[in-house]
Amino acid sequence: MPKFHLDGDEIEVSPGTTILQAALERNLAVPHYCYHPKLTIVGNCRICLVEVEKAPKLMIACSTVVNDGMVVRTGSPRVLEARRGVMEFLLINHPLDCPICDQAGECLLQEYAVLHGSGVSRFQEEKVKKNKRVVIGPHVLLDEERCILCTRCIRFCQEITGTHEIDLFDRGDRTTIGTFPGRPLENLYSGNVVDICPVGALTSREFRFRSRVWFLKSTPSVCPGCARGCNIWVDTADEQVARLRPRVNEEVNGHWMCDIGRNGFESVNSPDRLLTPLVRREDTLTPSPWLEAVKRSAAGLLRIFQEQGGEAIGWIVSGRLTNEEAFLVGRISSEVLDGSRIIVLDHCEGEDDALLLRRDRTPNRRGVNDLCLGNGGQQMKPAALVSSLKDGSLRALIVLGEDLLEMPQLEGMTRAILAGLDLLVVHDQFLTGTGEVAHVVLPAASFVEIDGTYRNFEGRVQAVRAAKRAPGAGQAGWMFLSLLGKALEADFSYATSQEITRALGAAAPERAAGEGGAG
Amino acid sequence: MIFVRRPDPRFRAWTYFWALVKGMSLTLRHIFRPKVTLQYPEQRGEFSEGYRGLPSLVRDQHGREKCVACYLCQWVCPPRAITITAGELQESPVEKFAEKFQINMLRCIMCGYCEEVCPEQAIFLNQDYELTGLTRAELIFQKEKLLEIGGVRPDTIQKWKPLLADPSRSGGRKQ
Ligand code: SF4
Ligand code: SF4
Ligand code: SF4
Ligand code: SF4
Ligand code: FES
Repeated sequence: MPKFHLDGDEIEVSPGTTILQAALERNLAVPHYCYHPKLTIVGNCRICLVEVEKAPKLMIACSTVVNDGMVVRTGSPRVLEARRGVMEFLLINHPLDCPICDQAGECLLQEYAVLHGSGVSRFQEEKVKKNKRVVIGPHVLLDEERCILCTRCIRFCQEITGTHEIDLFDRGDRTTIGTFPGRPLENLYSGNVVDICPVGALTSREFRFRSRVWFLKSTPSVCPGCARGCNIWVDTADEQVARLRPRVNEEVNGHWMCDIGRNGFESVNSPDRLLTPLVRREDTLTPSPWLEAVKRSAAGLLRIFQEQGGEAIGWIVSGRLTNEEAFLVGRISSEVLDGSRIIVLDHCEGEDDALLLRRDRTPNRRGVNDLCLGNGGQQMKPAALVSSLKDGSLRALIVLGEDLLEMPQLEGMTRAILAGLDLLVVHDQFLTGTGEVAHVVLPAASFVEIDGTYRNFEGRVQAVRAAKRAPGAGQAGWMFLSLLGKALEADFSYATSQEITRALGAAAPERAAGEGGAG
Repeated sequence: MIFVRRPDPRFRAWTYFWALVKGMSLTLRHIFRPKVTLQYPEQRGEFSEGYRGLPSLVRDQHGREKCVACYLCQWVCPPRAITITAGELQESPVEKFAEKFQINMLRCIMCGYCEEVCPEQAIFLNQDYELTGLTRAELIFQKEKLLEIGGVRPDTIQKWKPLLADPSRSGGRKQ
């Protein structure tokens, strides 16, 4: 194990560690642009220069491997001078774009210019002009003038996705990055180049001019896009979701997330969200208070339960439910409406890919299967749903966030079948086709508005946190189910999702922790 | 209940007379001094150049709206009087502009921070101090009104000019 001196402290590192890695480990702020922990080291930006005793010149910290007995200084006058020089060169041809640049506020060029730059430019000549606002892919926009040629984006496309869309073109001070003719940057992970670009050269077309980063509030959460459960930051401004970003978790998603998950939040901001509960009165859906709507659902369910038994009641769920919601569905269906059927719908598309995206496009299929059905819940296969609706053996449905008319796996489902039910209760963010024929429609909270946990395909249980309030009277599923349980006189009542999480952990500790441990 | 004896003024009550003489002499002196009262609104005062009146948006000498919707003024404004919505300019190399820009003059405290922070020199406090209206909505100034009261401020540094002059650079290049 090599030992070396870093700014006066003697430290021991594992062989092969670079000076930069050792410094970052110790929270020493050594600036770096081209170094990225997940990409190969190229050492081309030169901002990370440090002084190594007995070396004639300054060395770049990112690619100099620690040797036994090295003495390294990261803040000596020579180092500061060199950084100032590198900053000056980087800024020579840089446009004065900060006021219109989406990166401003989280730009390493701005940051290091303030920390290590000289504050004034001595450059007298004309700046080199390059192309701006170049569309290089469906999600990414390139500003060639802002690029500092660190090649992080190129390495990402070579090493992580293996798609090689981006490369360097031209020479000298005209060098730019770009894509090849007819081959835009359209791999499934293209949004990540925007995150790793240390400056504003690559920006997101979706986030473009939507907000400024200093207005954003970031909440740690989990992407609901597929069974991987990538860790994300939900960035909100003014109760609107502005963007989703990957949150580093080496065990799950590393530093990345896919474009489907990244851009899967637009419906949350929609002005068409359902804002109040609706109850059918004289054949029209009319707004109603929450408690009344829940009571009406409960009364209907009890009547059907007493007249025709639990088998006449069905729950439509999918892996989009949190563990907490699934737990309550399991409890109500087995303890109160004994024998009611649970139908777990699939949301699968394509195949698993090599990096992150899973075929199962729901975040919590494992948790739902286990918690809804594990405690003696009666399952019904989705294929049997339509026929049992048709032959009248199912008389009531509680639909949690699904539109039954839009599901290809439910062949033969029509509005008329649903309209013929004795009771149809729908909890959804929008007034869907299913909602339109329902007796009670309740406004739901979206994935950025709920607390709960998901269990991903590996069995890892991860927490989701509400980043904003649901619009109008929207409520999370656990709240709806808790109210419904109370109205059905079940012997539980929960005030927060965390309480349910705790109850869940107490009921089945090994399940709550999951095989992968809590994330 | 207690009884308090009222003090007997007698001689001391007469000492006010001296104060009367003093006051009167001050009045007399002022009668012969130059008058400073302004007959507002017929007469108006002169303000120093740095007087901070209502904030307003300006155009440059070529008629270009200078604000690029960088949101710095909205960020810095202490009473949060400014609300901006950014939009994209498809044809111009400046790329970004304020689709909506409103200042709630009922909130503005005329501190001048917005003028100080603006990187484009697009917002200035003018000399106007008369803020009247019949409704509150009238006193929330929209962009058109702000540009109208701001008028034109010629620029010495024209950072966007070379870009605007080069037709090949307006609009986005598609690949
Ligand atoms: S890349 Fe950074 S320094 Fe350059 S214009 Fe954008 S915010 Fe400013
Ligand atoms: S576009 Fe960004 S990530 Fe790519 S080389 Fe330029 S600065 Fe680096
Ligand atoms: S003058 Fe001060 S209070 Fe008024 S808009 Fe500007 S920053 Fe806000
Ligand atoms: S600071 Fe200036 S350029 Fe930025 S939004 Fe305000 S007025 Fe516009
Ligand atoms: S980070 Fe070391 S050279 Fe770029």
